Amino acid sequence: MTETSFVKTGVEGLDAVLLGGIPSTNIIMLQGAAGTGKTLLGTEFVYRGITEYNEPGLIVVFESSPDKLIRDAANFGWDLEELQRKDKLKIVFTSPPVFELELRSPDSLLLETAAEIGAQRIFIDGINLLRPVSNHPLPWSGPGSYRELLQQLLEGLNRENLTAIFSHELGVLAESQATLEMASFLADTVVELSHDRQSRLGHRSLEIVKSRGQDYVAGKHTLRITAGKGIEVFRRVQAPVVRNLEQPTSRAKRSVIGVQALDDLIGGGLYDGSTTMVVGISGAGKTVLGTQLLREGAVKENRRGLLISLDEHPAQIIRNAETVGIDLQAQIDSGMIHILYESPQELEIDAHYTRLVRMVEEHDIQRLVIDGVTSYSTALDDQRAYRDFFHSLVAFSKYRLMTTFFNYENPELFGLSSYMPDFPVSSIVDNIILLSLVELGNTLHRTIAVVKARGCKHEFDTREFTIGQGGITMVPLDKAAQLPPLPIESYSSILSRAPTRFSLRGANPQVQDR
Amino acid sequence: MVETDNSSDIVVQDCLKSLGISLLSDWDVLVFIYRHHSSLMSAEEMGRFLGYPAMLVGDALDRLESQKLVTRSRFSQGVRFYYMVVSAKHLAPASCLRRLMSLAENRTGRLLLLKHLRKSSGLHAAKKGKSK
Repeated sequence: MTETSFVKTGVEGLDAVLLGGIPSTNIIMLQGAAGTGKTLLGTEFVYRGITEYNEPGLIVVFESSPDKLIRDAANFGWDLEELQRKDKLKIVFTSPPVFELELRSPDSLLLETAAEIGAQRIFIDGINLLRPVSNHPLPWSGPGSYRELLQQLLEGLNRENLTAIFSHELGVLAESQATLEMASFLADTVVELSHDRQSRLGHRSLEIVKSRGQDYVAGKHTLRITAGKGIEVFRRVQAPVVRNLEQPTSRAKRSVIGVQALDDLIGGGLYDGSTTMVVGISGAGKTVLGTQLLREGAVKENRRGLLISLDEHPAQIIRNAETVGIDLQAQIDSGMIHILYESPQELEIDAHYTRLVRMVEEHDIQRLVIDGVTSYSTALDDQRAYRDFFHSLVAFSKYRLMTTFFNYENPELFGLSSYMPDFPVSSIVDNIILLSLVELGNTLHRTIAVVKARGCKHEFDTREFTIGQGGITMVPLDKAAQLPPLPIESYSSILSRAPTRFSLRGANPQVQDR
Repeated sequence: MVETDNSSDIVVQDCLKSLGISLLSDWDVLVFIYRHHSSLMSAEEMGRFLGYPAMLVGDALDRLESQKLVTRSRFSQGVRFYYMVVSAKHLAPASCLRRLMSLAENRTGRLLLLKHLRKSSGLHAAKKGKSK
């Protein structure tokens, strides 16, 4: 099938889910309960056809008042009255029996009007209202049945080569289910709209149930209705569609934050396109490390960065960075660093991911910091959605060769029994950096260790660092103060991960802590 | 009882007169067509929506068409298209129409129109009775 035989709906995000649009002769059914957005989607389909593709259209309503349709459309900035004046649109109020007769009649007034304005799109709101026109009980499918009525109607639409979209209400009664089922069989494309409750929040979604003659992105996608704009469909969070199996891989290594000791620790720097999980308790320095990563990229590597936070507002992030001498504002003003903040209370993961992807693509982001992933877990009730988001982001980062840091707040204060206790995905990321607080005497010290760095000969040393003006500074190693290395058999309690060193002769511990 | 200032009464009275509407049924049919933009139906169906007998709606449509407020398409399958006519040639009625339609959008306006149309409907009936 060629590109030109597809009709674009013009509804933001919907054509992407439909992988380009709908085959031009397909008859589309929108199904859903009351209040799910069927009338709005149908109206927008006609409106976008007129305003974006110069395809005049008809809207046929049986129950709703055209006046209210025009009023409601005005809330989205759509001037339907003006389009009617220009003969680009005709809103027709009629009854189901008249409509059914009209589509079958050779001298139909409705089709005459459609021809007069050169209509190419038609939206019929509430096709299920045709059901009472047929007096036969369901599931009768012979002459005069509801099924035959629908077939005649669809035949009429096909004959006129109108791209038709009709809505069908999803009721709870058995009769309503039966009419819907029948209509679903006959329609070429079926789009289901729903409005579910997620915890105390409402969530709208759209799913392509079937679409003859084309491929599409399956699953439930988030649908948003925005005043002044209309409908936006956000593709379900998932890995980017990659037509071939090639994965871009870079051999270029770059400094993490411009500190040689840290680069040495990680094996000479970070590969472009690598993903790093920074694990640590709150206050260990994750945000500072992330901020420095972005600043270093912007200032020294000319790489644009994006910081995503669900916890802190941009103003607070900028202020906190200033206190350690990192001037984020200057980089933001020059367009080298961007911040995306969204409240976790209202987080819709599909919409959030789409926004993130758009920002990355629009600003050509090469360094990304997610601060932090644990906030997503608490914001999302659905662990599957959380996992999908994380996997998609890793795949997206790698596909774009974007260097990405995920900050993960480990709840354990001293020592770790696992990297990510509530979300074990450490195998997916390339590098793992542990930031810890260590109590020496009555003072807390910060330490950093690299426990995993794919493709790098990283060091296994635990190094102390401080945070001061300029950000992170590694405390120099005092080689003379180090204990002489001993073979592994000189330690006990190795499996408990708290090894104790003994003297060569035997029993008494000889550990000399600082 | 609807309390309105005199000027509103005068405007309503003058506008109804300028449009040539004296019956409530004519006004209701006109508002129905105005609000539904392009209505494809029979007079009988319209009557069912409005709660009037088909004959009364048919008469109202005849009068509205003769006043050049409404236009009807040809007859097909027992139905017609009904549209409002807002002609630039008749600026005064068009402006009156807009004012009255705007008035009809709220309850107070509706009651004011009812008051005038019931009054004139009474006169209309009385005139009819006299002529008989």
